[in-house]
Amino acid sequence: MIHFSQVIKRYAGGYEALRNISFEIGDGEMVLLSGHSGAGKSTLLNLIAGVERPTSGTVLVNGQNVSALKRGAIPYLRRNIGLIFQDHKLLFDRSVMENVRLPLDIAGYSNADAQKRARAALDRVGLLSREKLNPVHLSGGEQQRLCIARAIVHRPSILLADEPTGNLDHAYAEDIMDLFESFNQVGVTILLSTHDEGFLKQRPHRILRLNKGTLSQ
Amino acid sequence: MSAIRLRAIALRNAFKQLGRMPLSSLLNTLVIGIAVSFPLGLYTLLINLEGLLGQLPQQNQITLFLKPGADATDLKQVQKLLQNQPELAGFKLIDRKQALETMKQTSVGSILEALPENPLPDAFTLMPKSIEPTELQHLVAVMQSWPQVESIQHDSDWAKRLAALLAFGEQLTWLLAVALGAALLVIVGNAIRMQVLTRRDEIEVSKLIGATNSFIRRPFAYFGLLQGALGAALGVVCVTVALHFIGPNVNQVAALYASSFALHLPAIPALLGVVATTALLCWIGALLAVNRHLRELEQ
Repeated sequence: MIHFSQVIKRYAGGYEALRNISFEIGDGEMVLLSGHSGAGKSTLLNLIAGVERPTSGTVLVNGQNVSALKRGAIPYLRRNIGLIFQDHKLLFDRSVMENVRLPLDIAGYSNADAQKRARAALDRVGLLSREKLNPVHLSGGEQQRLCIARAIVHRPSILLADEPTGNLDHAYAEDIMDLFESFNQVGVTILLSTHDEGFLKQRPHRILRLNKGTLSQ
Repeated sequence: MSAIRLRAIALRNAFKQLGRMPLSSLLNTLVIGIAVSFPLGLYTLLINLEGLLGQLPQQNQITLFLKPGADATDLKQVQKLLQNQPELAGFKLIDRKQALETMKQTSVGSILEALPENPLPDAFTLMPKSIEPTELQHLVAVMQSWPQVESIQHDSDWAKRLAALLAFGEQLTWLLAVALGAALLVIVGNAIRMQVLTRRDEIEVSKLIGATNSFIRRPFAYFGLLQGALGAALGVVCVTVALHFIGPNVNQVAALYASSFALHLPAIPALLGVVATTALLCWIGALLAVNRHLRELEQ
């Protein structure tokens, strides 16, 4: 599903965020990506979603070579990926419902279909009763769940979550992890990054450890 | 189906945007309206004057007036002289009685009726063969020397001057239209730039979850189009209102000259053309601006 081969990401100024990274994540696998902040976790996720391009090496997603993808093809790659951000990236000038609908509107779903799917996604994360609210009025945990609903609403085959539990207290974080595991059980491939190692040990998933841009499994 | 739907969503967003910033979009629309009303107003004035020109004798016509005291023999002599002029294609006598009858039908008729006797002289309208100014001048000079002739009026002289003035006015209109068209691009480009900046988050998030550039561009482009069309419509309204105020005065002046001339707006297709062109320009301005700023955001 996701395949990295000798990937190097070097920024202008010579800073190497990723050094010769190779790994593979199979279809339907749930993998945790750990490392302290600045280890290159976000960069790695960005390479998969085509937000950034590798300096050298190959990134394959669903058999597509992301590093060689034309600019115009990137949006269609992303429609098969659900992105979850630590800072949620919600839009506060519209309701919870409109936030969740955004990927469907972008893909051109009909109004009725979009409404139905958005409701289902909100129900999945337990926010159906809040659909008319502005996300400003949601708690941090709820905002994260809204971000997750937006990421799964178009049923992507891959979910990439960048520190989804980073700002949450332990109980909330457990909640979110359970949610991800339930998605994984229905076949979604998940790559989830976190800096909280202790928290990861309780979960039975493969862990990729990033340290200063190099990988140890 | 989905392609139409995507455009419908973009249009809805554009309308929303128009409603969301009422004051700034209103001001912008107003500026566009004013920018449109200048060349449109000038154009309206021109087509009206052109219409007036159309009512004037287009032919190269010369009018020859006899001295007020001229009698039937004088008339015959002049008639004979005219027949012998090889430069003339033809001529027509307008005798003083006939002229009086014609005049009585106009608004100054009542004044004429109050006069004890007919103040109008006998006159001839002449059709020269040539339109060459030097030949005409020669002809006029020859006829001026006849003792029975009071004056000769070369009607096309001031019509020609007016036509030249109109041609100049037309050029001025185009120049103004081009300059203000360029200004429109800047005005709309700036408005779109502000919007792109205030909607930065939305653009960024949309791109991250799979929006194509054209999906992001579309509402801005439609917004420009709508604003341009609205602005141009406002410009048409401005010119209409101006005509409404100037109209009665022009009618009064025209009545003084016994003319039924009245100001009117350009034809509907021309007005629609102005609205469409403005909308198109604003659409282009919006596209240029949003493209530039999208590229900035990508870096």
